[in-house]
Amino acid sequence: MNKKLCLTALSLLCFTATNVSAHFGMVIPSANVITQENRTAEINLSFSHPFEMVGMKLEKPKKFSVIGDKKIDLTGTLKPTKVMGHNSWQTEFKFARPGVYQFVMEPQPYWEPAEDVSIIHYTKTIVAAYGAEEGWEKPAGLPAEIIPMLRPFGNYAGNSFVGQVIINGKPLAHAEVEVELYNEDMKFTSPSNYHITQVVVADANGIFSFTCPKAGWWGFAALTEADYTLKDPAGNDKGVEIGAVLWTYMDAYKLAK
Amino acid sequence: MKAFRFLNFKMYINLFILIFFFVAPTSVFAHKIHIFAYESNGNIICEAKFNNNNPIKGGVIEVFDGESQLLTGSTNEKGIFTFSTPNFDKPRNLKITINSGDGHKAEWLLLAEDYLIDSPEQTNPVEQIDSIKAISKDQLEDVDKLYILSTKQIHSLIQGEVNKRIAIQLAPIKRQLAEQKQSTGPTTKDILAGIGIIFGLMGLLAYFKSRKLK
Repeated sequence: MNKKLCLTALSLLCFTATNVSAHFGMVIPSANVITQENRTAEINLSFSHPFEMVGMKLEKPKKFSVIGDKKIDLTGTLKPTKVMGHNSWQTEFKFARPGVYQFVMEPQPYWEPAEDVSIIHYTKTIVAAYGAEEGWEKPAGLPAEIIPMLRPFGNYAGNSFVGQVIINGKPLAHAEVEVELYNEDMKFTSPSNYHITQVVVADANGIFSFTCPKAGWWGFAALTEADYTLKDPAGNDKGVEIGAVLWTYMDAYKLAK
Repeated sequence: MKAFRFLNFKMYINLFILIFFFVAPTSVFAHKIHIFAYESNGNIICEAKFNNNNPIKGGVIEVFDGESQLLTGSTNEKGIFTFSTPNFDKPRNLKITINSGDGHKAEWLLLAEDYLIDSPEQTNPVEQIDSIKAISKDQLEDVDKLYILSTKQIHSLIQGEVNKRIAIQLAPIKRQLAEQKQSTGPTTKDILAGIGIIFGLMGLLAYFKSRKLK
């Protein structure tokens, strides 16, 4: 009886312990390649643990914009929705003409008591429309961002994503990058807690590479501490975790019929 | 030649095919092209580009309405071809194709709703009423017709304004409703964590108790 109780207690403790994993700002469009058959994309903005499919509340972002041949503010078009059961935001965007479009979210700071810091994840994703493919490597001008060095669309599962971590316009040497697969439909489970988030360290030029073995949305989050502090809910000055997050989609190979 | 003597004729063919496959596709796929068309001041403007954004000069443009070819032309130095917006008795989509001359083709389907500018959503009813007033001074015999048209537009104007007002007034109520839906209490995660800790402590207690008993 006692043994059984101990086991239950242990397993429950293990279960709760998995909560200490990576947070990811998420900007996920319904497609990252836009064709004439499908000219509109639905874009979901959230703050989540993408592999475990555990959501958090995302306050209305400070700013959400799209950068094509010009920058358009889409903050006003955001409508509340639920992602992984938590308050998130959604919009629809109609792609008017060929181009490469960067969708960029600047969130409000998220107070995380477990880590005793505020978290700001500057999150972006890149969508290509109607055959154009110039400009995907252009910085969006965020305080922290990952510049892709692999064209971030039209990729297969198994390709290696290569990117450079940029903080305030300069490469971040030896940046630590967390990687997670958006485990939609809870298709996969992790052999251990280590497997939930993959970790890679960039070189002296802030360049890292990671091979994405499965089809789906892959999130890359380069984390660093800000050189400023923000007030916690109690009014104390606390550190700020700055995240440069990029989401990119890897397609499965398609069989010819 | 001696070195290759061990290769028979079949092997040569295979080698040739292999080399061909490695070389040929690069020339096909490195020059992807695309075309885009839009309406501007009574004209349809077609822009033809390579995927690196360079214009396709002298590319052959063909415009189809349904199955039949409407017109053809070629792009200028900037990869642009312009033709005046066609008039149809009913809205029709236009299929516009580009042939860059080196075996590459692309097409754009210009939807009727995207190039026909007199759709009611895009025009401002106030402006239309003003312009009708200006005409009515010269053409008094058409007053009846103009009157009917403008009432319709006033209707849509009022309706639009009413909808807007309702939306503005409902916004705080909607927000309140949405906020009520958000649970402010502990989440399932918190509850599970709490239960986990309780069970954990009980487990430890039971363990020590069982040791004492022994």
